[in-house]
Amino acid sequence: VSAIERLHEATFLLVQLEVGSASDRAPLERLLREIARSDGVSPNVAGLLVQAAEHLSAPVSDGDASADLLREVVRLVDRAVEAVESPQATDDSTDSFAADPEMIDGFIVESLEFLESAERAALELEAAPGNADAIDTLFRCFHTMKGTAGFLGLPQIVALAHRAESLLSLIREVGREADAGEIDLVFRSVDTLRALVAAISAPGEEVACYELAAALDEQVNRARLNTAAVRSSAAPAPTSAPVPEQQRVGSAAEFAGASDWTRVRTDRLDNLIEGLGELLVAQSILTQDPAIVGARHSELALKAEAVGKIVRDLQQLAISMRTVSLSRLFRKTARMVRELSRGRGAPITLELDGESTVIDRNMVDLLADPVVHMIRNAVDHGIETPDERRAAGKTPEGLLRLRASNAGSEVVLELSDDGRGLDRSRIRDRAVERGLIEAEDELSDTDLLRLIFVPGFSTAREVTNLSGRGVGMDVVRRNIEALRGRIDVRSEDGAGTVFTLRVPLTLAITDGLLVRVGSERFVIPSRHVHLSFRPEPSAVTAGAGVVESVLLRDRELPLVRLHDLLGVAGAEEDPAAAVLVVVGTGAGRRALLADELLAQVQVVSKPLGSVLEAVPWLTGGAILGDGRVGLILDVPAIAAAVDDLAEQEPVLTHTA
Amino acid sequence: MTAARYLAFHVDGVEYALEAVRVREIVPLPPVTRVPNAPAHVRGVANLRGRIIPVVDLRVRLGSRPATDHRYVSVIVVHLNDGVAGLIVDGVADMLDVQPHQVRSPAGRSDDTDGGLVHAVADLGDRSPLLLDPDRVAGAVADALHVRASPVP
Repeated sequence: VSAIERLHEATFLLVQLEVGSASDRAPLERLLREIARSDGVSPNVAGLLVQAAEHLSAPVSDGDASADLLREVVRLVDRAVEAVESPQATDDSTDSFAADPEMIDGFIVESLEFLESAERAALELEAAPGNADAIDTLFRCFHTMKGTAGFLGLPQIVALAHRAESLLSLIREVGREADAGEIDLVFRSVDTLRALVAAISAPGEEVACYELAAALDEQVNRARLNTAAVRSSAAPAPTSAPVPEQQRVGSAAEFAGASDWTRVRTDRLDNLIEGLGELLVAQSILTQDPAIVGARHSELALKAEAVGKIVRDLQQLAISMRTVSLSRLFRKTARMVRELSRGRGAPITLELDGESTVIDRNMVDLLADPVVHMIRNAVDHGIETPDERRAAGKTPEGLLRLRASNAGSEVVLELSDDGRGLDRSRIRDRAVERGLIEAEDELSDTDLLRLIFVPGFSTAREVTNLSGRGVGMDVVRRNIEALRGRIDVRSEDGAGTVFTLRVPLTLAITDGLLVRVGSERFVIPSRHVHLSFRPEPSAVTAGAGVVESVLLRDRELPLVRLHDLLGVAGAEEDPAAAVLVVVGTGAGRRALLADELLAQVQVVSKPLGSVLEAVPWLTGGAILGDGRVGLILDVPAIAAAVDDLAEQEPVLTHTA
Repeated sequence: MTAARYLAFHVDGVEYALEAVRVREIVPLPPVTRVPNAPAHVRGVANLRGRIIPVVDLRVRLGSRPATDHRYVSVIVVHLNDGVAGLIVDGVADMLDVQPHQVRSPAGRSDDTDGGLVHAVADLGDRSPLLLDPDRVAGAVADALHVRASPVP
């Protein structure tokens, strides 16, 4: 029995495990190890099989881990099968590193750009299957990649790009529309080529492209036959004069406008921005020096101010050098909505607006995860099935809208759907069931909707293969908050849901409120601050013990005395003689007691050093305008601490 | 075996020394921002040319009272395993060459008397500075903080 036949046997066993008709992993594990030991199996294949067997023998605790594990085993066995069936394809990749590493690097960067253009064109083509420009762009991308890859000795890329190019050239030749199957193949080619390009810098990584290549060959043959048929039946050749290929292809440089660009390593840019932040702080220390402050209208003060303006402009410029547009995120979104709507078999229209919105490149990747998750949620749970929509008097196609814009130092992303809206009674039931609220609690509508962001909350009744499992909006909120952003939700029953994300343009600078507590100063990040006010003496209620509260517009807020929490002596004890800063959102809203508000500040947040890492209530420090260190308060931790205190206290009495 | 260079300084009338390779610089006491809930011997944090460093009062760390007169104190900025810290001392004396055979264990000294920081004594005849391990300064700070970080005050 040959290795390949036994591998097919293993695949069969694996399928049984996957669908659950068998549960004993041992026979498959034994079989894989036997095949790995048998003659004629290459070390590469044997390695894959042993690895798969190891995975199978690992103890698993729960269903999720088990499913993950099986997926990994499937992946390994697939690679082994592929390697046995087409040894050529997998061995090729080892030759590619002979070429000049710098050229390889250039090729990687350039190819990823080509593939982005190709993906954009493929989306355009899908929207308008006869779009000749899109077909041209795709052809050019594949063709140029093929050429360079051939030169650099990357045969897998050549083989795949060649096939994709052939397909497009056949479509282009007769000027017909691309059909859905062909467009799909183009998408898959883009994905696989991207994986192959990524694998260049990750030796050992193998990319499955055999099946796709075969599918492309088949489609090319079919298209060729059809083209021949068209040619023989329809009389003269295409009306437009055939353009020589070289002329239409265009060089890579022309395509990317390469000569006008300089590539800079991101870490250098990071250092530049950090350095400018320090320069700005040093400059503001200078302008606040008594020698200059005392001579407010003198030339010296004016000169120091002029330097400050230049430094601020430079800092803005440097930050803008690190910004990128959201176009990549938008494309990813478009691509994903396409796959999701195919997966559910119901069409969804996606409207995108604000692709040119810019954001710090350090932020963009971190923003992608929450956005992707929210889109999945909207598709899986927000937008109804076509039948339900018709019954509700809507168009059968669902509508998703992603809007982005720059608003001052923030980026605002709005994701809306025209689906069924959030089910408020279900949210309430679930929150009670989870013990997040009491059945008789009265919540404002906003607070009720915000419950979906509380950890452990999820209204998804069923788990679909699209939305993954166990990851809810609490994770989205956490991701956004890690970016110093915030998320809000609005929803109308039967009409849809709108999520609004606000994140800073950059993490390099923190906007803060500088407050005085006793003789000490602290920075409260502005993103947490709602408002500040001085309460009437009667608004403050001593709680039964640790927790006090204050009434603000008929709502009771827990009051946190910063001087107690932070151990500051000599601070104002009477809230009516001090100021309360309201931080947090919804049920997590708190009033922080400080002596006075000093200033709005922009600071560069820095760690306090490993020695003070574990100190509570602080996220770091910043050099203030007078050169001293100001400590930045950890508002979420302080808000959570109040909950801990409240828990220690069985009864929370309130007598208004 | 070659001699190692040490920086000698005084804290509360006692002579101590740190290995010179661990010393980054010596600066006058900068304005220090108190850090809430830090242990008593961490005076706070300070701005060292744009970098934030913790500042440890060696008097307190070594078990005596903090100095009330700061006119003559200096801060020795030392390299730690993972970062930098400033140590407040009463005054820096001079550089010493210490031969390996002059180093002996700190017999008779217990952890209680100097916080476990003294790892050896250099026997130089006319003087015998106590040798400090800067990483223990940091380690002790971290330990003290872990204890304090958990309960809500």
